[in-house]
Amino acid sequence: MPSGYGVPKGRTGMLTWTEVRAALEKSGRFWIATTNPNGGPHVIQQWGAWLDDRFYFEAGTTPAGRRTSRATSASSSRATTATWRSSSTASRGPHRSPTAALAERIVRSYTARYKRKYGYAPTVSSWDEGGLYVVTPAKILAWVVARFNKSATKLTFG
Amino acid sequence: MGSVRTLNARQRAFLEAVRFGALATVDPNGSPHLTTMWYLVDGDEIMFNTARGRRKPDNLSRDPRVSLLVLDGYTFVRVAGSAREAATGEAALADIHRLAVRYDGEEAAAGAMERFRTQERVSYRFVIERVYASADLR
Repeated sequence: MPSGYGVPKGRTGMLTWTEVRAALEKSGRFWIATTNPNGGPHVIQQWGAWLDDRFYFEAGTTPAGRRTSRATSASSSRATTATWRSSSTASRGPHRSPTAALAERIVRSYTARYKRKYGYAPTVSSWDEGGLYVVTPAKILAWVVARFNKSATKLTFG
Repeated sequence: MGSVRTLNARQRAFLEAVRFGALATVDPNGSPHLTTMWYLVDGDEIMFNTARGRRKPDNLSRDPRVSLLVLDGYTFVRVAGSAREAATGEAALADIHRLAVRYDGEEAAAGAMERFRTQERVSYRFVIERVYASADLR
């Protein structure tokens, strides 16, 4: 973390990737920053799925959806308690043709999160024409809100 | 429904409640940069405060455009504008104290000021140029 946040230099209280990954996998709502066609920033809340340490989300194939292919930063808040917040800077790009096996797993993840409460579930053919995006984390900053100063952790990925 | 330029009463009340904001700026390479922020609604402006040397002041000096998302579940308000440097020195310290009191209360804010005084704080403000909100706040 940048200096000035009062985060101690020691490792005591830091989060493990296992803990952070568990929070991301459980989260149902994610914040995604993109840039508009004019280069300005834009933040939205988005549904998505964490699978195999990658974040998949739908954004459609409309111009507005394609804009999100430039997403490079994402955050997550866990449920309404916002126990965790994480952000990632990531390589990015449209994931236009997932394998059938991957598509099936993404469908299952979406279905588990959103079908019962919101009546939404994609199908394995939902992304045949594009509209599925993948974010591969390069860096994640994570902390527990209630003990930010002691828990703030930066994780980097090779 | 498209965006509008002014907050209605419900949107203002939502932003005035104590919630974190997700603030996006633009990095030198054109990628977005997202941080969780304390913020304050002050008239028709949004104020936030940071420390010199961090990414945000550098980004804003090059490209002042910001997008701020505040949400509670699926209820949200997103505002956008161009941020300007509004205060430094003691005035910026007064701003961060005001924010700390809003989010953490008087006692915690008093304790945090010792740390804030070791930093070169800077306040930014932006006039709300666009508002977009969830249907329940329109």
